[in-house]
Amino acid sequence: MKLLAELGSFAKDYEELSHPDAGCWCSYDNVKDKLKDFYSELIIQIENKIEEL
Amino acid sequence: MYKVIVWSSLIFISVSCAVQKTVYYDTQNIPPNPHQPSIKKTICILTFNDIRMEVAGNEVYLRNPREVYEKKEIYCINSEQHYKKVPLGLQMAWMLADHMMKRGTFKDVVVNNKDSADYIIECNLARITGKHHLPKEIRVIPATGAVIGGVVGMGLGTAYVASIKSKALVSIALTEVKYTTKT
Repeated sequence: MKLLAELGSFAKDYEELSHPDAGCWCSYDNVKDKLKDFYSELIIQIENKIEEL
Repeated sequence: MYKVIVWSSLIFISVSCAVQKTVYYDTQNIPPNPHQPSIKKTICILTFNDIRMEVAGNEVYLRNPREVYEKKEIYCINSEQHYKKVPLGLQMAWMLADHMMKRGTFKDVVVNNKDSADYIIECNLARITGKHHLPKEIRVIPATGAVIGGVVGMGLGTAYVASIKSKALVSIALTEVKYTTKT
């Protein structure tokens, strides 16, 4: 495969007061919410980069 | 009566925590790209290359079944054991594709189907972790003072517990995100 472009790394840390998952003291639902935010930003960068190609 | 409540809670939480977890979220309220469809290309996302075992700080999430202790505090972690049914790198590629499809920017977004794609996106999954602080009051059942340290991390299916907020930490990292083509 031929390399066209590199976007590099994307990393984000989230910290907040929130409720745990319903019925289980863990953060699986919270991770989903944050992944949605993370992907929203990543996708915009992906779109912008592909438009440049 | 107290014993009935406690054992009912234990059964409930054991079932709740035993359910297989995913990283899928609802995309219904994701707004479309206002410029859509601006890019008439098909994008292929490859299963994320999972390098989490090589990244410092991930071990506890990959090997620990439930809780961790940090500075005398207890955090309930999102254990890898509950994500295992489908490899996380594939789940995350599917979720990214679903989200991108909902945006509507591209003609199509596929996963692991390079032959149909104009561009291929690859990346490493370096981290996706979640942990929730377990407050001390949760470790003691109100009104009785009974310590329930043995069930720490399993959670309680009660309205009281559901009303409490505590510190939640989530960390997500992808590395070497790149575009390629077949030729």
